[in-house]
Amino acid sequence: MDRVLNNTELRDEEFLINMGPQHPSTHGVLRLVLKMEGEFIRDLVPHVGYLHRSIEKIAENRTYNQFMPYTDRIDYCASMPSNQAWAVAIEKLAGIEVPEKAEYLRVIMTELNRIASHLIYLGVMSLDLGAVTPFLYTFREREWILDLFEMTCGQRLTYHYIRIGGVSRDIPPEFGKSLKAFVADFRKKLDDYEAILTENPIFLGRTKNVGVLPLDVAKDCGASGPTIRGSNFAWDIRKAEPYSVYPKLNFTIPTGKVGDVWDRYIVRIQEMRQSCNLAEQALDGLPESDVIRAKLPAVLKPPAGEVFSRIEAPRGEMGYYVVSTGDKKPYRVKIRTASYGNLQVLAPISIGWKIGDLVAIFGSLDVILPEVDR
Amino acid sequence: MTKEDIIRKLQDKFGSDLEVVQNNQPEPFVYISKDKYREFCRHVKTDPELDFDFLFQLAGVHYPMPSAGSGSSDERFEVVLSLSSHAKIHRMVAKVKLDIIDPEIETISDIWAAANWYERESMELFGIKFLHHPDPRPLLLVEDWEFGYPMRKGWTGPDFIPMPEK
Repeated sequence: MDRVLNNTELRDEEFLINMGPQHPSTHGVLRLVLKMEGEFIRDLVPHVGYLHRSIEKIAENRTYNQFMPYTDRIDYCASMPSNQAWAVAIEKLAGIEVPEKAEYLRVIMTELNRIASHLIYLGVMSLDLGAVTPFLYTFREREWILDLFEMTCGQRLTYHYIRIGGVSRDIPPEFGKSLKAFVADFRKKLDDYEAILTENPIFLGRTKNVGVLPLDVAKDCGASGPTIRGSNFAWDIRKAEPYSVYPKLNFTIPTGKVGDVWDRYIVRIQEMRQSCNLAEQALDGLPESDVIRAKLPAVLKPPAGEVFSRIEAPRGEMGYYVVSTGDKKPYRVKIRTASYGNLQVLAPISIGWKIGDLVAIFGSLDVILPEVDR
Repeated sequence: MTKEDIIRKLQDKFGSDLEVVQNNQPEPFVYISKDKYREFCRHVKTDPELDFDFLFQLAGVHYPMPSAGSGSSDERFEVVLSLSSHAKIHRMVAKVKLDIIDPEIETISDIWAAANWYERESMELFGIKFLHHPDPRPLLLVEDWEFGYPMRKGWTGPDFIPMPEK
């Protein structure tokens, strides 16, 4: 012992540590190179691109309708909003009027998908922090949502349900009853999650005042969605630039207070409650009609021009910049995804924290890597 | 601000360096000259009435043939910025034309930090050089990529199979 304590050759220095790409808490494949001083992070460099499939190049070689299934693969945890972002962009470019019933169906599906996506966040985030039980609970509830989707469009992950000009098919008769039962059940389940996590001293210790995201950094780096709302900023595209039938529906924008990991958690919990209300309202308001898709030519050729549109996906703002030359294929498609902006705030807010906190901070941003790499 | 207000305000400030694209979109689409690009970006971000504090995306576009795309008819690269304002809730698309050979432009990643990754992406996929970029490493492609700039029109690589024309 004496030999160790009095060893003058012992020294400390900064060292590099590689985290990922195959790391359980990197939610896909992300590689982080960390410069550490003991347990503390002094610098952080994210390396992305492991899931790059060049979807933008593929888009230039497909017709507008053929590209829709690829949008499922941009954010596979929330395929419905990904479909919708593309549909909304092309509808804006070509001036297509969507039947009202299709808009209501879109709201039901995207809000259910928002819940499913947030459930994955909640389960995986708590698993990262060492709580295994919520993961099992959240996947149990997500299963019901997937059953509802399967009932409607036959798919459980990549739905290809929302199409340009409407949706692919109507909901079956038993859907409404099942949705009502789910919402009633899920509200109680949310209380259960909160009983496990919200006031749990271990969870609070890992999340309160950890990874505080200042609002100006969030805006500068392009963060959006629950990430920026956690920093006490009520910004939601569904309210700010309303699309679909959101102006007719009643909902609020939950916000956090200081922008720490816990605030981003509580924002998502409250958003799930809002999404329950929205799905229920949209089901009640569903018009009696058989028209669920606008009449379009078999090969869609939008007029020459360009468009910039965006929607509120579960992770934040998702949108497209599309250039059309009047051809059946788009000339250029730029996909802007929420995680791309949200991942850029990781370095500024993680520096100075310990490596264990990095797992919590990264989990709280709810980044999905295929969306970043495209 | 409405589309017309934004355009008028920008025209007063930039005059002939600004070219407005005529289209029926609800937000203004403008071309800014390459010389005034950085001044333009700084102005639209800091001006209290414009207040474009959010860079939604930055995209490169390749127009190798005359009369492709809209609004112009030269061979060129374009850098396209989609901007929005949180406080004023308005949006704008600003574009800048670059030379077809050796396209280069000053970085704006010091004005909006979000531009950092978008510029890196355009650098490796389109070969647009962003001068004074703080971290000009490739972002998405593998480190030993040696097959040129895949997002350029007419690009072919070893594994690239074009979609058959029916």
